[in-house]
Amino acid sequence: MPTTLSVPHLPSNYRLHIALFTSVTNAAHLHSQLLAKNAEYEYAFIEPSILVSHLQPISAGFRAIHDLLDPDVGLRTPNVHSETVFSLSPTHNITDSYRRFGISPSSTSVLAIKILDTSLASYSESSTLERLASIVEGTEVNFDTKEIRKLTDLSKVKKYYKLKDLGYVDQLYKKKGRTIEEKSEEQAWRDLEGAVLGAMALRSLV
Amino acid sequence: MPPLRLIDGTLVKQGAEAHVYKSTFLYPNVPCLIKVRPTKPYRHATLDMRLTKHRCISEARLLNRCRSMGVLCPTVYFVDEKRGEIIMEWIEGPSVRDFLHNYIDDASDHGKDENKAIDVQLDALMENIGQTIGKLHDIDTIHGDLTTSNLMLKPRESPGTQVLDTADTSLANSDVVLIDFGLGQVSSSDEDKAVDLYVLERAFLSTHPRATRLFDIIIDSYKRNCLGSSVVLRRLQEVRLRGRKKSMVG
Ligand SMILES: Nc1ncnc2c1ncn2[C@@H]1O[C@H](COP(=O)(O)OP(=O)(O)O)[C@@H](O)[C@H]1O
Ligand SMILES: [Mg+2]
Repeated sequence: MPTTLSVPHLPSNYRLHIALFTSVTNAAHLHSQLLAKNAEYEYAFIEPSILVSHLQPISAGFRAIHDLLDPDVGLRTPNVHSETVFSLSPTHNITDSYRRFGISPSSTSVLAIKILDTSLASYSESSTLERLASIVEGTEVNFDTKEIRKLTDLSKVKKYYKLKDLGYVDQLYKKKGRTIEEKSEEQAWRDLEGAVLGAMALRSLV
Repeated sequence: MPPLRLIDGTLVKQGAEAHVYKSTFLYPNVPCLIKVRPTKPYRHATLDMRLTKHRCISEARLLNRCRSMGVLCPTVYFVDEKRGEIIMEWIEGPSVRDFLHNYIDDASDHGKDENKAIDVQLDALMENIGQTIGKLHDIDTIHGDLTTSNLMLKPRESPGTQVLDTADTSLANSDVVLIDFGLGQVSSSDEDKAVDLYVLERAFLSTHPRATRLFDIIIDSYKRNCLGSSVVLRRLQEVRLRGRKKSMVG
C-alpha cells in the first residue's frame, strides 16, 4: 500500500506519497516521459537498488521540500521531484545524480514519490494515491526497510556514496592481527544507513 | 508561505556556544538532537556568520568521518550551515559525567560486596573509554574537548535491552559514544593527541574524587588498544610537565 506522510519541521500541508514496486515493466516509458518533461509524469522515480533504508528517500524528500521553502536556498533542479532525486546524491553533479539515483530505462523496481501541497484546492488524496498506484506497472510491495534491503545493491551503494572507508578502524586492527568482534547483520545495515544519511546531509559541504 | 522553523523541540541545554534541542526527524518516533549555534550580538556580524558556519561545517564533517570510519558518534541527518544548525541522531545516554555522579552518590548506600561488583563494571567502562579514544586517534581525529559530558553511554541495540540509567545496569552491554566535535580537527600529530588525553585527565581529576584510579585504567586501555599509543603517551608526560609549570607560574 502507498504511504502518505507529512514530516516534522516542515509545514504539515506538504505531504509525501510513496509507493515501492518490483517486477516493473514500464521503466523505459517512465524514463522517456521524464526526459520529455511531461508534467503528468512529474514524480521522483528512484532506483531502489541504491537505497539501504526507508529513511533515506524520506530524508531526500525532506531536504527537497526544505530547500524549496527556504528563500536562502531554493531548488537547484527544475522541481521538487527532481530535487528529491538530486538530494539522494553526496555530490553536486546533477546529471550524475539523475543517472545514479533515478530510474533508468532498464530498472526492474521503482520507488515513486509524489510531493504535494495539500492545501491547494486541486488536491485530492484518493486520486493522488490512485494515480501513484497505476503509473508504475509492476507489483506493489510495502514501503519499508525490510523490502528495500531485498533490493539493495551494496557495491553500487558503496561506490556512489564513496564509502571505501566504512568501518576503516576495524579493518586496520584486523590487519594488525587483532580479533574484532563480528557485527550483527542488523548493526552492519545500521552503520551503512548512518554513513549514507551522513553523506547526503553533507552534500552542500563537499 | 509559513516560515520554516527547524528548531521546534524541547531545549536540552543552553551553553555558551550552542543551544541543543530534543526533537524528531522524519517520523514522530525517531528522536533527534538539533544543535544550533546562535549568533553572538557582540561579534562583528560578518565575522560571526563565518565563524558559526565554520564550526558547524567542521563539526558535521568530523561526526560523519568518525561515524563511517567506525568510531561511535551520532549520525548527521541534516545540516543548515548558513544558520549554523545540525540535526543529528539522538543518543539516549546518560553522559559518563551523569553516570559517574550517580554512581558515586549511590556507592555509599551499598554494602562492600555490591560496591566491588559495581567497581568491576566501572573498570569495564573505563576500558571502553580508553579503547574508544584509541580508535579516534588511530583515525587521526582529535576531539578537542574531551570531557565526561562529551562521552555518552548508549545501550547496545539488541532486542530486550533496556535504557541505562543507574549504576547497576550492565555496562558491559553499552557502548561509549563521542559527541560535541565543535573543537575537533583531523590531525596525526602526537602532540595534539596527547593534549586530547590531557584535557580528559584534567576533567576527570577535577570532577571525581576517586578518579585517579579510573583514569589510570583509561590510559592503560589506550596503551593496549591504540596503535600509536607509545609516542602519544610519552608526549603526554611532557604535556603534563608543561601544564604543571604553567599552573605554578599562573
Ligand atoms: N546526539 C545527542 N544525543 C543526546 N544528547 C546530546 C547529543 N548531543 C549533545 N547532547 C546533550 O547536549 C549537551 C550539549 O551538547 P554539546 O554538543 O556537547 O554542545 P556544547 O558545545 O554546548 O557542549 C551534551 O552535553 C549532551 O548532554
Ligand atoms: Mg559538550
